[in-house]
Amino acid sequence: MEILLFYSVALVAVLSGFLVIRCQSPVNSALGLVNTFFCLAIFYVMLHAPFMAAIQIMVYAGAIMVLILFVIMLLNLGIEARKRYTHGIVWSALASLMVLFGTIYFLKRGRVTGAEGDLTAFQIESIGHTELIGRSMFTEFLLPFEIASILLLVAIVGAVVLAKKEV
Amino acid sequence: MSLSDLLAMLPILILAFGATAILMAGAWYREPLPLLAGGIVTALLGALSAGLVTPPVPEIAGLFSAGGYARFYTILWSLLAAAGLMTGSRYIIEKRIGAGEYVSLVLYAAAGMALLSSATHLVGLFIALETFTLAFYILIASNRNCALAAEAGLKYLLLGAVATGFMAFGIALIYAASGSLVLPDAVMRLKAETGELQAWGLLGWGMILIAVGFKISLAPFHLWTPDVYQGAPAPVTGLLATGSKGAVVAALVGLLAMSGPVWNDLTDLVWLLAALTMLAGAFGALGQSNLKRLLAYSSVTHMGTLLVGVLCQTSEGFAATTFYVVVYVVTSLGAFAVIASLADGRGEPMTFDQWRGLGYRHPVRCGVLVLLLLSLAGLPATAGFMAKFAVFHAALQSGYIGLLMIGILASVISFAFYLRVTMLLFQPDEKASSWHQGSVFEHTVLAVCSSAVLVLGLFPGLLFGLIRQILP
Repeated sequence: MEILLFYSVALVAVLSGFLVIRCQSPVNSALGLVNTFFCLAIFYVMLHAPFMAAIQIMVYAGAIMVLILFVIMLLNLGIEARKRYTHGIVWSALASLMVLFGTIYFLKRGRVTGAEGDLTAFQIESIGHTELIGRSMFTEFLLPFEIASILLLVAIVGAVVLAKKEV
Repeated sequence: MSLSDLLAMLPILILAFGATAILMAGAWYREPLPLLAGGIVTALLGALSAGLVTPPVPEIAGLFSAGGYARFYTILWSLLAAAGLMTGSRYIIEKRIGAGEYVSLVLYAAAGMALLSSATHLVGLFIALETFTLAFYILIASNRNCALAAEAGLKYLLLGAVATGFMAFGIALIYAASGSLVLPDAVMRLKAETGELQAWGLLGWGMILIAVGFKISLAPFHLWTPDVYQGAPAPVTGLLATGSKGAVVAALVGLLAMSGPVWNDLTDLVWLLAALTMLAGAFGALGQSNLKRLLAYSSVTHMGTLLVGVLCQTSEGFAATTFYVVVYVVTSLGAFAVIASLADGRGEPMTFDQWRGLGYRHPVRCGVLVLLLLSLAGLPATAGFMAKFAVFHAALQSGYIGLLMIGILASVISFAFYLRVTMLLFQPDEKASSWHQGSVFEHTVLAVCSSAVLVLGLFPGLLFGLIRQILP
């Protein structure tokens, strides 16, 4: 039952990801992106990570998508952006199919590790998922967390540099 | 994180905090020169602290190594940032680009490159790679009055995003198959059963190889290189061609040297990539009539040669690759610094028509350019020759005769296009116009690069001795 749910959600995720790049109107693309984010949130729930699912919906599907929609509407893209671009679609489809079959071929031959981490479903139930994420983020993975803050700072500086008016 | 961890990452902290301080200062104080000077001093301080402070722990937070190899590259990338700021000084003043933003982005990129070169953990690898690539997206497009720069920035952003996707997929597959993100440990577990990489591990490495191929422009993933190099301003191209590629190669060498022969099952694939890259770069450069595009194809050829050194997977191959990275960084940076120093109100001299006869107008800088181009080609007595010789020697010892032949063929072809530029510079041409005289900063960078090329060419043992000591 769970595997059926997984595959149907995955199918929707991939299809809406495809819509993001194939839609004529940018607003439709943005809505496709929202759909993909929702599917990913469902995966988080299936992986016993409800906090991640909530964050995914609130931050990505909520805040970031609203911003993207605002930008699209403020830019008021003309006819040029709505043209349908079809160049290279056959070749890219062939290439992606080859990558897909290659990947499936290798995945069939190998298997996942039997190794289990320190966390069990029981621990997640008793301590709480949010608390466990917080603990590992601020102890074991503190340094990547700090580097990620530099990364975001660079992104903000970049947005300002590229978008501000001439001084 | 304890105090000793913080002490071990002192150079990175200096770079990152210095960058933040300059960014803040730039918001209040808009004179470019003091900000630039502050950035150069910060970068030099970072290099100095990496060289002088012995880290008390071998590894920082289990993610980044603090060994000699990591410190070596931290010094190199900090110095590169200083050189990049020096060559970029006139560009940001004349194009009225915010000095605080530019300086801080270059310093953040240097911090990211230093972290990437010292990564031992796949999470560290991924996040360090993203940090400096993001800074480059912005630096490339920083001149907003230039449509080519915007196009270059967008192309690099899109292809960089694709590469990131492959990288994340590869890391996920390796983690799923081994249950570990620490690379030597993950490789050991993948090979535990049969002595060979398990299928998932193989696929994961393949995906990572694709991502690396995009980042260091291996053929057939090299198509963005000429467009991006042409569109980006020359000081940024200098950093992009050297630092962003060198740091990825350095990370690859460090990881492979630590985890033993990983690539035995991937040898054929890497062989093919290296051969294709060397030939694609050499033949692509033949038809170019724009110096920046030519240098882009030349960098593709050099990445192919570097891959030969990595493929050997012997300590000699790794030492040769490290030497090659240093030589390539110095030479390529110098070549782009010459272009940057000539740029004036008309932009940068790019097409061969603009370069024709320039040797009589600017004899010293064109002489330096000729020296650097000959070093890129691999003329004996320059550093480029020693680097190529070391890599090909390692390939010969590991038995890659076919690849060696292809490498020599590519080198011979590359002589043709480097010599063509050399002749072009000294063709008598009445119409050749004078370009900018260059600033003190730019002349300093050129002096350092050209003397390094000569010193490393005549006394390669100095650097080789150091590299043998620090390889993990």
